[in-house]
Amino acid sequence: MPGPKPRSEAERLLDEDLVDSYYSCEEAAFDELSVRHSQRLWAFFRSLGFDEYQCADFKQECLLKLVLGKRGEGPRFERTKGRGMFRAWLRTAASNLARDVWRRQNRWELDDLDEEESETSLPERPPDDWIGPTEVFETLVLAQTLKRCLGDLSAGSRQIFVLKYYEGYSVKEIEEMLGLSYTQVNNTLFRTREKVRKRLEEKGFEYRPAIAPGPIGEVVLRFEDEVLVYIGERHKEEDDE
Amino acid sequence: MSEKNFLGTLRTLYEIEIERAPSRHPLQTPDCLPLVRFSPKVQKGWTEEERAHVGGCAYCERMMALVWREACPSPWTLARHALGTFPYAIAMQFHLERDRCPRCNQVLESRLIVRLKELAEQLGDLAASMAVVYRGPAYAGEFASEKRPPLLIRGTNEDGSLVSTLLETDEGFLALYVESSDPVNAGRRVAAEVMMTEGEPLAAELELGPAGEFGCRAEHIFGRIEEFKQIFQGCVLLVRWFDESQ
Repeated sequence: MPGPKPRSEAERLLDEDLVDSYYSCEEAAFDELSVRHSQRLWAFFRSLGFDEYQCADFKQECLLKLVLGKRGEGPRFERTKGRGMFRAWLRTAASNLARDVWRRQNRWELDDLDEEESETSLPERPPDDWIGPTEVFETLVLAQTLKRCLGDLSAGSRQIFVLKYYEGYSVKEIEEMLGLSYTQVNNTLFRTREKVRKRLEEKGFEYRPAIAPGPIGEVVLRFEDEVLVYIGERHKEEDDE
Repeated sequence: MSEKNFLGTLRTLYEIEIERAPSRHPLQTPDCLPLVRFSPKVQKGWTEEERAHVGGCAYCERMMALVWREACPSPWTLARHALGTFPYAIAMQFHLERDRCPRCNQVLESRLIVRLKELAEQLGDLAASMAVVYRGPAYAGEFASEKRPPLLIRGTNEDGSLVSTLLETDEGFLALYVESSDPVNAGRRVAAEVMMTEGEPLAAELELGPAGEFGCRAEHIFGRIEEFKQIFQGCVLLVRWFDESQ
């Protein structure tokens, strides 16, 4: 049986080494960087609430910054530390780009999270013409719920939330990326997290012990000790009663 | 709800989003140029085949427009657009209308474009012979010298044979320096114009003199900077090789 496909030399290199190779005229290194980061950049912008065309443009624009930096036509990536630095550089570029767009629309701010939530109902059960596993449908509902919940946050809070909980950056890194104070980032994270968690519960998503999922509800995600089940808003009300 | 699993849920959903992300731009075709070909310096070296593809290609022209978000097209490119000779109209439209670039829209409405049209009619293709620099009012501070940096604008023509610098000297004069790295240009003349938001343009003719082994240069003092306050509201410096046949 053939083994796993051997990794090319470029695939084995760190991002930062690939940037060095690209700056010294190895264009294949740019292709590898592009493959590694394209989809993640797209998903990053999507999570910030931009439409698919905007995401595609912004993703290319971030990668173009690397191209322009090579010839001194834009800011150049300077290697200062080891692993992860390029990803942070790229994410800073993406964050700044998003922030510039929001600022042009006068939309960038950190909110106090007291605003009214947008009340659009989600489907509780798959529609009649749904083809596909129910579990996938539940996951979609979960994703939609989360998107709407993030859509209720201000642009700034949403950006901090995505950088922390989706992209995995530390509070300190986010503070540096966005030029905010530690307290601002930390407070925003705490409040947004609680708001999102509460909203998911209201919409009928519950974590239960893995061994007892309960009589009602579909398992959406499984973890070591718990499962996330979707019982829907209506069933949740019945359950509560 | 455990904190760990809540965060795990968020990450799982994000991974799903990443997986469904398209690997290429929706407008991109297999024939489109790779991103590395869109650096302005590389664009100058596009092959005929590449130029032919880019003109009219929605994706490639869009990438050109994205590059202009980082650094606007040169005044000369804008002038070519105004003259109807710039081949990438989709890119320009995107930059001017969709991105609503204030700087480029302002240049297009300025007297520079009118003047370039006149020159184009007189002299034909100007690109290789002219250095054009635009300084927008965004850079303009109040006139009081202690509140603003000294004026300094600099431009080079397309083949790099003319480098022009308009600056405010330490003594408070508005001066123009024109240099050429090739000593063979010693004795040649250049025509310079500084167009401002108000008043007549400042004009000068300079003859390049030898500047040692490093090429040749010429300078011209227009007068004290106080006399040209409107220069801080935006100006255009246009320097071209003098047409000896005139």
